[in-house]
Amino acid sequence: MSATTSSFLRRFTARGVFWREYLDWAVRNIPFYLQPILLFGMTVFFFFFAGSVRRAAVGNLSLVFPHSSRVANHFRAFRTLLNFAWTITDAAKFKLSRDEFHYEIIGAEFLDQLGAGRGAIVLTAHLGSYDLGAAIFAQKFQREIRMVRAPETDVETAEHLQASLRETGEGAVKVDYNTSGALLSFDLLNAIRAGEIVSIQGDRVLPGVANAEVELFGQPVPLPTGPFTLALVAEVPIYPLFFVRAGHRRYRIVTRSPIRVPRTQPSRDEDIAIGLAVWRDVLEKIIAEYWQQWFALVPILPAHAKN
Amino acid sequence: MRKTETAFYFALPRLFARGRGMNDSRTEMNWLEANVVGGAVHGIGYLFAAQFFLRGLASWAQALLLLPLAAGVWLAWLVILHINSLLIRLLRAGGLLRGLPDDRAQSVLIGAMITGLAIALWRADSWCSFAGGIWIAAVVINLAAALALVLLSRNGTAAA
Repeated sequence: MSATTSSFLRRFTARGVFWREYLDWAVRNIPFYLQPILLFGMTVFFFFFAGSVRRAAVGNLSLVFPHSSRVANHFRAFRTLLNFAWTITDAAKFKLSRDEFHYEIIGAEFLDQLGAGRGAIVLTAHLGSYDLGAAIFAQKFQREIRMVRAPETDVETAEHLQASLRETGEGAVKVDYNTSGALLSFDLLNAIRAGEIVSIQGDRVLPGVANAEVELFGQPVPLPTGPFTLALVAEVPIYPLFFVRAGHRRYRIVTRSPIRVPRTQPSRDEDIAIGLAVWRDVLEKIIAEYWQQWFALVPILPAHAKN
Repeated sequence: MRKTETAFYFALPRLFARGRGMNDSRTEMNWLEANVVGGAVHGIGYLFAAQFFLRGLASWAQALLLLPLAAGVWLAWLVILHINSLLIRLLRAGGLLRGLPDDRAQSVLIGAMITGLAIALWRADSWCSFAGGIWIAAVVINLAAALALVLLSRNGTAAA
């Protein structure tokens, strides 16, 4: 197969750009009342044909529900994918037509602190609509936000997502890709010191990125340590923040109390471990509550990742 | 994004809302509307396809084909929506539907198409004629409500 053919076919894989472009077309063209059943059908299609995504979702859910049968976790995975379909559809609607949504805030005092503060880290997860959440935050507080994302496997999808975030956040959301290079860490540190807000996803580790193993739902899982190192060096708080779907055109901004990483221990690693343990607790509770919106659609457990 | 109170999209519930002094502006926020109307549209399409393709087959064959037919109807919807979008472009080139956004223009075409299918069902000699009749009645009542809303708005403007 030639490189041109292979590049063309890649557009149609589960993470290919074709589906993102199709979604934009669908949001503009399909009346809202036809969307529930069409989205359900699309989810059935991906559930059966995007095997790696389905297996990852089932594997991650088996971490949350270790005593459940595989069949039950397959049903849960379907529900997760259906929620994912709704979440990216809502984000596309907001991007293309500035559609209205209901929303409520849990932990409003922490959100206000974050909005008013100078330089902070937002620690979130692949949970709910993190892209839409960043845009809403930037709009609500008139602040710029730098979002650190896992690099997309497909270049065209990455370009499409970047353009989408720019449009959704009206230029206030900048995207950086999480790679093993140290350059990004210095960039982020400078940004925080300059008073910017940096948003990082802390539930998934990419190869080559600094991490430490913690117990999540009783299993050893690697979580990134970068946000804690940044917080320690820059002396800023970490705000756990999640933007979860609460129903039809209804969202919930969940903010938890800030995690501080002061120098109190003999070694830096011990300070970081304390912060990471607090984050682990927050993450475990939020995933247990909103498992149906945990969109870390790659294997989280190292054993599953190897398989 | 901002907080809003729930309102409706279709004319009949908007007319009721207006009568009760509630917000009657058009929104797409209502879960019940999205699912009930969407279910009815897909239901009429599915019943028509079942009548067309499965009539005359043995009961066991009909039962066996119900699920593949649902998948086929879902795929047909994707094709129809694409063809409609091309048709809308053509109509706009001819000066029609220019004031409507794409999804509203699709809504007009889909409404006409499903009403056509509902009439065919209504005239068929089976229990499906009941479903067709309900759809036609709902369309007529909704159009009457739309007319009432327009007249009420004009009177309101004139009074102001």
